Amino acid sequence: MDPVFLALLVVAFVVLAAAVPQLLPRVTALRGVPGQALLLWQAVAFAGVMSGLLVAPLALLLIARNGREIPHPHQHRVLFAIAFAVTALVLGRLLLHAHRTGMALRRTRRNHAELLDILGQENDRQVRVIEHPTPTAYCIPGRHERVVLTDSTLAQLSATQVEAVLAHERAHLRWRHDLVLEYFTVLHTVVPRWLRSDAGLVEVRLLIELMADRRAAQLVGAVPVAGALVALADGSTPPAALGAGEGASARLAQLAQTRPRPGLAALTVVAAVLVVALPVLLAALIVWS
Amino acid sequence: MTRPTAGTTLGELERAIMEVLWAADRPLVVREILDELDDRDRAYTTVMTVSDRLAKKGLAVRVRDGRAWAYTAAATRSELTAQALRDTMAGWGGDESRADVLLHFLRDASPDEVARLQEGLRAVERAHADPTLPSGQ
Repeated sequence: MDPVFLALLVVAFVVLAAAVPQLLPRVTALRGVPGQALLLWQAVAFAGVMSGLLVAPLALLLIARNGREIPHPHQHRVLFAIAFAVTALVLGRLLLHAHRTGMALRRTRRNHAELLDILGQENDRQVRVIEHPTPTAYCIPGRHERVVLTDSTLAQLSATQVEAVLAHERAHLRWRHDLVLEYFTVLHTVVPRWLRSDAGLVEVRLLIELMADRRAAQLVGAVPVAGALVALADGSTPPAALGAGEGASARLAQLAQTRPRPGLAALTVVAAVLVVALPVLLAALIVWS
Repeated sequence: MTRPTAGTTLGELERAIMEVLWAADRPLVVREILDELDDRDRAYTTVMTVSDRLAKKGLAVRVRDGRAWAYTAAATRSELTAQALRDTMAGWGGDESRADVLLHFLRDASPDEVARLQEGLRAVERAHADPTLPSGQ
């Protein structure tokens, strides 16, 4: 039955890497449990990478072995070298890409933080207020973490709304959402452009915003978070990046939800565990069947 | 003679020097910058090094003044601020692996959806209308 399981592993790879990132964003109920939904997304990404990396070595094992006996690599030097090279190539490309992305992100963040330290009026160690007519708020994550606001943001928002914005940005910094995004960005951009869909990355970004909104709503209430969203949308410039449009409405829709969803949360965690178990299970079936 | 004041890190000295350059109406040599700094205990060589660093970053411009270098701000504070924000909004030249350098509170709203968002805000207000809940505002 071995070849069947290997074929299933290939199918699992294609489904996890290509189909799920397209389909999972359509399950909008998951936005009600953003933390658990992010866990599921990470499980999908991890299982996808695992399936991809396991295919070549397991195919080799399938070809080389005789019944239940696992042969010594010396008997199949050429095959062993090919399988090893394929896996090393895929893994190496992924690691190199991760390294480059991480370096570029960190360098850009450091330069931007240094610039803001010069331009900003210092309020406290972490917050920088800069003078600009566009109301905007963001954080610089990482070693030089800062929360940045323009003075026009302070002028247009109420004091509680400013508190909400700060709580939202601090949630991003505290939960290291930059690392979650970096992980997905690396896995997303390593795939050739014609093969990938942006839907998954857009949804992950939204889930991260929902988590930070939820934290801010806990601290200062949902209404000021929603009010700040609308006030900042009003003064914002048209978006240059991908995934424009639905984010703000989807966040407001979640802020209007008051009902906890323990059942859905538990179900999502179970799904995440099953997804991670899938490539492990298939690999075990190939090795031991 | 160490004083436990702010202005001890490199970043804070860069900032203080830029403040001096922005306030000046002509290029200043290092001695003049040093005289204008609040904290006069700075070493001449430190101010020289940091001024040079600002020039390398493109924040200051270096011009010859006799045998010394004089420094002037490359642009006003508001011009530099506008430039910095333009970078954040343009996503650093569209390099997709750097799209998430920063986490914006709101990054993808368009002005034409504001009416729809107002409706969403009212829904949030209705949902949290219970006076026993924290309602902000």
